[in-house]
Amino acid sequence: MERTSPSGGMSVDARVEGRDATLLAALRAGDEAAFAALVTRYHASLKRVARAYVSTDAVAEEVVQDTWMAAIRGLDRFEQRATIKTWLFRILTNQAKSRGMRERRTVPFASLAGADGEEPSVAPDRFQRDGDTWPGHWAIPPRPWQDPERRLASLEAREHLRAAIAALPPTQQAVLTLRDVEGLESEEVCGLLDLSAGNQRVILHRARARVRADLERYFEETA
Amino acid sequence: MIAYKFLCAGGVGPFSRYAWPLPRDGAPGAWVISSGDAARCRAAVHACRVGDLPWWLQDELWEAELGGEVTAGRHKVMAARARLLRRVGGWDAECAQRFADACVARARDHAATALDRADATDLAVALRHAATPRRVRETVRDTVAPEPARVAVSMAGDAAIRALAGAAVVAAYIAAHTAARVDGPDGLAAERAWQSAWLRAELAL
Amino acid sequence: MSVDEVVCREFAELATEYLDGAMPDETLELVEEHLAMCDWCRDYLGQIETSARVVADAPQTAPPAPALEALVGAFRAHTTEDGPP
Repeated sequence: MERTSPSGGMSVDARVEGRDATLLAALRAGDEAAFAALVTRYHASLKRVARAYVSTDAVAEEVVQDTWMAAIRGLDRFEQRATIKTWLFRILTNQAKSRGMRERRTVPFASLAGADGEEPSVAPDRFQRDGDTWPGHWAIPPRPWQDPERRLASLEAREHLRAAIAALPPTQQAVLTLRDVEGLESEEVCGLLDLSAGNQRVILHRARARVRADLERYFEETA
Repeated sequence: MIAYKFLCAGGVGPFSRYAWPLPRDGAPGAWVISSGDAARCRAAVHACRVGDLPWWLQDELWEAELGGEVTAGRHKVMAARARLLRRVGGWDAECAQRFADACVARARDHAATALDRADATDLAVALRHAATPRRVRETVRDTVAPEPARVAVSMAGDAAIRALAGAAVVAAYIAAHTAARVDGPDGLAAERAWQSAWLRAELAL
Repeated sequence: MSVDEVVCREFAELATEYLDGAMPDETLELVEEHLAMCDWCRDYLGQIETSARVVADAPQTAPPAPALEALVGAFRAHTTEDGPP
């Protein structure tokens, strides 16, 4: 596929590294405001990922607390070979895994992923069937979305979106959070969650497809 | 090697959304270079041979020069680099509509063949008489086809509906699959070859 | 149908693989042939992209105030006990 050459200026990696270095220095100097901001920034995402490993919301909350405690202790040793974000999620998945095991939840993440079932990403009745003129083609095609970002700007819409994400199965929430909310790369997410690339992609796709379906309903209802 | 590219209005790639450098003052557009292994679909610059055109119809048709290693795909060629030489002016909205209408007539005739084979000769005659896409749509709507011809007739109706909406690439797809329905994979290949020949003649390629 | 193609129901499962650039070439060719003529699947693809984008802007629940306080306290205690370098 044709690609244009990257524009000049600092790469994304260099900018993140710079911001991380500044933040790290502040944290090591005991900047409480910086620490509080960090905790606030990552709370929701950490909890969503934790929730994929443990049985209740409350336990997930505890795992997140334990993660921050471990991060505080490990701050001095952190060598910036990874980003602060990746580092935090690594601590979290380690904490979540051991907590999950202590809960006697010996099922590893990957099997949980399989437990989401072989559901198709789109309801079968949206497509034509054998015997119809065009089996497998859209029977009820998606309606084009007019200016979705603007329609999602209201408080009500944003709350609806938050609820839609919260309604996803825990494993889908975890992968969607790491890939699409936190912007981690596919390989990184596979490493964090012990998932194959293929598995991770299927889970991500199902999560996105559910959000899409939810938004489709929302846009129809609020048209 | 000379080949062709269909681009969206303004010389923009339909998948890459890449804005192609356009020819100016008689000079070709700048070379666009593939991002990696030119034999890999994902990395290469894509183009059409005449036989590939019906799959890729878009707003604008451009003649292109390919450079470096050129690999054949299923219905395209992949090259290490390409540049646009000239716009094929004959391909415009009117031409696309004429092509779509021609595809409807073809789909209609294949459906009529299916009716003949199902011993519904009267229905076949009536369908062949539908001279425009509108008439094809109406005739299909009013036809109760015997089961062996039902799908082919429905396909012809869909070709008409999509052609009336100006969707030439869809009308072509439907005509090809109506032919496949009636005459199998050979029918499909023959139909696509007919479509390419129509475009070659119409656009003097 | 013995025709080699990807149809809408199949593409609906492949959209993320397509966006990730993780599709094997053979499938990618079929997908592009399909997208070239299926505006509905192009709409679906765009909606998947949009969904992936907007979740990043969804409101995030904040840490409960007592939990945050406890953590800041722990942070304070840890950095104080180490003292300045």
